[in-house]
Amino acid sequence: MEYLTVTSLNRYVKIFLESNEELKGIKVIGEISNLVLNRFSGHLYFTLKDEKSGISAVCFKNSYDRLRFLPKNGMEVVIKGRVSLYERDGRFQIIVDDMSVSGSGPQQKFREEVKKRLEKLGMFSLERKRKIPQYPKNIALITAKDSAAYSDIVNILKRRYPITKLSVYPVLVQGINAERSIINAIQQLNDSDEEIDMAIIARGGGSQEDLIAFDSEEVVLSASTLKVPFISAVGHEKDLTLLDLAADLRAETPSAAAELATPDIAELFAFIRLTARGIKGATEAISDSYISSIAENKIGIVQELNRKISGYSSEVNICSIKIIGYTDRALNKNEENMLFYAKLIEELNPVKILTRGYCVVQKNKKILNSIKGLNDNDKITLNFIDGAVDCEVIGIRNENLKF
Amino acid sequence: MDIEKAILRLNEISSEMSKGDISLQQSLDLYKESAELIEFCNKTIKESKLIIEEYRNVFEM
Repeated sequence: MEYLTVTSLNRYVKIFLESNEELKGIKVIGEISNLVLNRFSGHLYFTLKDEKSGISAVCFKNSYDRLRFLPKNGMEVVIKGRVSLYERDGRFQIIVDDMSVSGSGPQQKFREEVKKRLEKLGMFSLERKRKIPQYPKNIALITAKDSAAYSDIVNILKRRYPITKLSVYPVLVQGINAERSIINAIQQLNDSDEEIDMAIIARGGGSQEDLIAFDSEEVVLSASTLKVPFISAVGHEKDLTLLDLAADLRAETPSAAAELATPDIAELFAFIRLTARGIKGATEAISDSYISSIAENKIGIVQELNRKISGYSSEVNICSIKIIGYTDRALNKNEENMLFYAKLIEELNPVKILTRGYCVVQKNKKILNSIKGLNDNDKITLNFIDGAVDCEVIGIRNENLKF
Repeated sequence: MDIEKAILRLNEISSEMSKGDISLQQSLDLYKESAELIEFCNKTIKESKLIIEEYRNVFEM
């Protein structure tokens, strides 16, 4: 009985499959599952499946490196390749030469699921949106160096706001290493000691798989940790990536991002000139009003001061006159009294009385003003104005003096 | 002491002296006090006028 070895059979089937022109350069659509990247060989292994069937697939390193996006489980892709057999296991497989995102329903479903997860984490909420600084001093640009997006942004910034500094973080914006490259740049920016005010993450237009890194869950999560607000500008106006949704501000194109990020310096100068004129005018008006107010006040102050001094002076004079008057009056009153008493005393002067014919009677050198104490034969002296007479009492009459 | 208080006191003295029922000695005491107050008032007024004169050019600018 003739037989084949397993190896021979597998080789035969392999050759049979690979030589079949119908099975060369075929395109197969399906969802990626069980995806494994062999770190040593760099080959990618996965199962391509649809609702009913599955087929092993291998993407060798040389093809994998040329892919424009990073394949992931759940993605619906169109594979271009050839059918073959893995001899060792006798496993029917498709060898991938190229791969693209299908763009059909299942791929949209995959993207929607990622979007839902990010949404659940609040990545797209308005509360997370930070304000883009109005006058950034230093802008970090995360994009492919020497790309069209890079040139557009640099040119616009130079023209529009040349005083800003641009710190470029070059990244791969497509291909299997794009996501890692963008995440590393974000990390590098966060770790930087540079004083960055804001960032722009930009990429020019491209196919769906060219932009797929910007729909990556990991890229969006990484961008959400950016220490500064960022503008996302990926693709064209029609392209809206998940990074755009998570950005603090979305620009439709890289050029638009540069315009949104900065003021136009010419307009700024015009505004400054206008404001300066306004300030000068307002200051002059205030100054004029102060000058006028001071002029009015100083007249008032001088007048009021003079009036007060004049009033005080007048009042002091009046008081002065009154007090002098009252003092004179008091003095005069005392003088009058003095004169009265002087006159009175003068009138009572006994010497003056003697001139009018009276005399002073003395007995034993004591003045007598009554007959009492006198007896007959008493010696008395009568004192006149011009001399004295010694007498003897020869009789006493008790009667009142009558003239 | 300020001029307002001095003038107030002068008015009081004037009022007191106008009654006429105070002694000469009291009159002289009040007269002496008022003389000192008047001297103080006049000095204050004179100094005030000097200050006004000193700053006149500022107010005439």
